[in-house]
Formats: sequence, structure tokens, C-alpha cells
Amino acid sequence: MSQQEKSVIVSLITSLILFVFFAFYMFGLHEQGRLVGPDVYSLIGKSFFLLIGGGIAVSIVVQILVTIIHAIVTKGYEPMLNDERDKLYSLKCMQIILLIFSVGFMASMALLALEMVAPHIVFLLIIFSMFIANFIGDLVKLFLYRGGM
Amino acid sequence: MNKGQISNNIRRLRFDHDEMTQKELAEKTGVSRQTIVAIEKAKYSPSLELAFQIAHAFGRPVQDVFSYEIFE
Repeated sequence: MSQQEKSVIVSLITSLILFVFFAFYMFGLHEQGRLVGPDVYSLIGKSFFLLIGGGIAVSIVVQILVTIIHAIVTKGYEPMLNDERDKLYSLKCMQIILLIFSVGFMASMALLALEMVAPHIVFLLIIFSMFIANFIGDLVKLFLYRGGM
Repeated sequence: MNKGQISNNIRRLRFDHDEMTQKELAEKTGVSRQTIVAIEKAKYSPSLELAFQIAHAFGRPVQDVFSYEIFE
């Protein structure tokens, strides 16, 4: 397994942990009835920045764990080299992330326009579409590395 | 437009060059060993520049290393 594949797996695990954590956190706030009232937007904004900070911390921890486990299993170390194939796969991954996020954003705006959901739910939908886009983008990148194109 | 496929003789050329390893070829061309593996298996089509670099590493013209077949 190359360093790039390892990075993608780290990103996938991190996204999954954060997605589950954020979903439970938001569900908890909803259960407590804190997702109503004038402070809800500020609460979502703060939660988002907490999520970014948490994401960096989780990513570092998972990266260290995966590196240690991989070094123990393979008894070797291969240096990270970012060549043209890596750049091409990153671009393809970014393209998919942007596409899925755009669809999620447009769908959220459509729901808002049709007054089908409350505005704070739209913010949450945008955050979740960001998660899902990132997750699918990483899956595609892993598929490209494993199977080629 | 007809679809085509790029094939290569890298495996045979490596053999002809004293069993040059994929790692050695990667070092000569400045890419990772995984990229050489992917090119050799025809799972990744290299850029024109990399194709020329690979050909240069074997001291051959690029058409001796890569060929392009069009499916009708």
C-alpha cells in the first residue's frame, strides 16, 4: 500500500468518525430542544468550527495510528512522492467532491425555496452534503489507486 | 470517435536492461514505483513528458516503448 492510499484511508476514517460524531451531536441538540430560537445559527456556526478543529485532531491521531500499524505489518517505509498520477487523481477527486457538494447545496436551496424545511436544517444539510461529498471523493480516489483507470 | 488503447513494452525493456527493477526505473523518471506499476499494467496512461522520460531511460525512441491501437 502506497503512502497516498494510506492518506486516503486516513481521510475516509476521519470523515466517518466526524460524520457519526457530528450527527449524534446535532441529534443531541435537537433532543434538548436547542435547535430552536434565535441562537440556533450561532450554535451551528460554533459547532462547525469545533468540527473543523476536531477534524484536524482526529486526522492527526488516525494518521499516526495507521502509520504505526502499516510500518509494523509491512516492516518497511516508502517515502511520499507526489507525481503526475497523484495530481491527476487528486483533481478527479476534487471534481467529484465539488459536483456532489454542488448538488447538495442546490437541493438544500430548493428545499428552502419551497419552504419544505426550516432554515437551520438547510445549514445542517449543507454541512452534511460537504461530509458526503468528501467521503465519496475519497472512495473514488481509493478506487482509482487500487484499480487504476 | 473510435476508442483506442495505449500498450507498452516496459516489462520486456526492463528485462533487456539487466532486469532493471521498477524502483530503478521510477528513480530515473522521477515518479513513484506505484506509477510505474500502473503504467506497466496499462492501468494508467502517462503524460507525453513521462512517456519520453521512460523511453529516454531505456535509450529508445518513444514508439519502441509505447504503441497506440485504435478499435474500429
